[in-house]
Amino acid sequence: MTASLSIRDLTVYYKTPLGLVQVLDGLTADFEQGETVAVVGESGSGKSTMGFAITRLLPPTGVVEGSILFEGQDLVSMPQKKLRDVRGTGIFMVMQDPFSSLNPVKKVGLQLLEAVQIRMERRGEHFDYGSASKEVLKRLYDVKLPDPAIIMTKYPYQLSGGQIQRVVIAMGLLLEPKIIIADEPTSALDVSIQAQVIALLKELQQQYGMTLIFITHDLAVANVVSDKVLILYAGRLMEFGDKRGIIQKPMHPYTQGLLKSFPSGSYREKELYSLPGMPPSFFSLPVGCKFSDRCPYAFDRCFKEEPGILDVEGRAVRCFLYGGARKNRVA
Amino acid sequence: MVELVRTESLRRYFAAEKLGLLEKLAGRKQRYIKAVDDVNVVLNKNETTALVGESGSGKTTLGRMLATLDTPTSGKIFYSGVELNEDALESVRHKVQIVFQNPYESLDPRMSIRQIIEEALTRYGGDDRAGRVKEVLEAVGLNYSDIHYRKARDLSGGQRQRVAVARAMAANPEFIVLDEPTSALDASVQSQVLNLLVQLKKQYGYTYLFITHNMMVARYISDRIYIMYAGKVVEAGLSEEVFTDPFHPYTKLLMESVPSLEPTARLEAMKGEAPSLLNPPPGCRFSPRCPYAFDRCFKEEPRLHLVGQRLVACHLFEDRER
Repeated sequence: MTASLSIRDLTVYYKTPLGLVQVLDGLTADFEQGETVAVVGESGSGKSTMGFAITRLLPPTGVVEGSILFEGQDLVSMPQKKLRDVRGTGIFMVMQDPFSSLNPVKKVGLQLLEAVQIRMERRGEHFDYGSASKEVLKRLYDVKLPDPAIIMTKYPYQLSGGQIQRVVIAMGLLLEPKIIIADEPTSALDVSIQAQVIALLKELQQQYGMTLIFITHDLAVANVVSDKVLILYAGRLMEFGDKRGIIQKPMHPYTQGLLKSFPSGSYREKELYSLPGMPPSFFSLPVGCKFSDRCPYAFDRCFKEEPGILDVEGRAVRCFLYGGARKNRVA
Repeated sequence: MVELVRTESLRRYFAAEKLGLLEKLAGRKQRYIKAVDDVNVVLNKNETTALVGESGSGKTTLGRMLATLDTPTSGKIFYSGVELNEDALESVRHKVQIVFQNPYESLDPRMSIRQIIEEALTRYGGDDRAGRVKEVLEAVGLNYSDIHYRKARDLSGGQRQRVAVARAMAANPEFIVLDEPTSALDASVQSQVLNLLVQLKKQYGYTYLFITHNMMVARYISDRIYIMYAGKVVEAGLSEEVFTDPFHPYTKLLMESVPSLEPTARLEAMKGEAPSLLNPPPGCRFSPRCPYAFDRCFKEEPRLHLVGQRLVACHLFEDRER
């Protein structure tokens, strides 16, 4: 497998009235062609910032350092004009709020035709309205929307959240991107609709061999959707590796805590495990390991020095408990 | 088991559109959204009853009516056997409190935490209000001296939700409606709040109505569960039983569509979408999405009947009625 996206030392700052705030710190990760990676983190972990940094859609206050290699080109140093050719047909993003991702005053069909036109123009092909509409209909059928011909004549506000998210996915398919970044695509949807959208994304990803980066706060969703899981905490990669390994045998104390605090059973049997404290604010991060103030295993060194990324059994882990830093290892 | 709250054919309809004079003269009929349609629930004292359903199922509307924040279109609510009407409202109201979903919106950002809780005491508080504020804040695990002077905007989501719970506790209620109290919270904070709610119930003997769309949370927190679909109760029973052996096809499918942490977890997606409440499908409201639906389901609405200890509204279970 080849890496379709290589992130090296990605660091993102936001300019604020209180000075620069660092929200991503030295993120390094490779995403292989055709695999699904779930990026899991709580609010303020930098997971959405990562998605926006890859598509270079950060607000003007965002400052990006490091490199993001896509098809041999560095997206970080790429001029805006060239970036427009990467967005859509190279990397496509599905946003959390389906209603804000379509133009409210244009009919759905027109917006989808526009996607076909953009793809064809970029490839130097001739755009033909008739065959393009047929293609749009076919894709709307692929995403299991009932009556595609009627859907095409509707405005976004006339559709439900689940339907719009499908229209956006259909648009992604029409653009034939190499990578789809989905930022909490199901958080605004009901469970039954969430299951439909996840099943659809998985099915299409396998069919077309796209790389899917699925940003979510829910480990259970990550479990059913992904091949690999990347855990973010306070803008740092804490653990990254094979899904099965991470869910069954988590190494980082934060991942362990998240998994243990997942509700299961009944209150009559046991109290739920809960991590002490709360996710830190970027304005007052702990010195040393950013998780040290909540970590049940933290020792002296954790409070003074930030651990680097270690390779433990093929998994990336940022923790002093691994790699022989301490003799009596926990877990 | 002592019954605390009971409803009898509770209905809440919302006008779907406002008709003008001309439209009324032209004889156009007012259409209604039937958010809650003929619902009977019984909540037992010192039990947690979970109310589960997707958006638009009517769970929040039902919760608001039980919290006396909304008036039913028809039907009755009994509170400790007393019918809730205008005369009884005053005496019932202080025993009922509600905690809202989003603690970022339910607390006044300009008031201090002490003021927020004291406000709840203006009508029902005793003499020692300051003492009571301190007491409830400590009960929810917050340090009074650190927090009483701060504004809601300075607090994190978990802390805010604790303040909201403290405010609900202040007037010494018996019954607390919890409307998705953990949905807006992070995973690592959610379990803290759930544990707190369990502990407070034990300590003060509260009765909870816990509204949620999260099946795992419902299973954990509740003794009894009601599953709602499109304004109707489709299944009700003891949580453990409903979760280990769901009867209604909707309950079954709902559970299969919840992602889990099992290594073999797969999602079974339910087809279709929740129906319009303006024009619910004839017969069973779930029939268009139900894999087991037969002729009768499309014509005749199933009523809720008792199967063992369970209530279920499905034609498939009618012959099992006991």
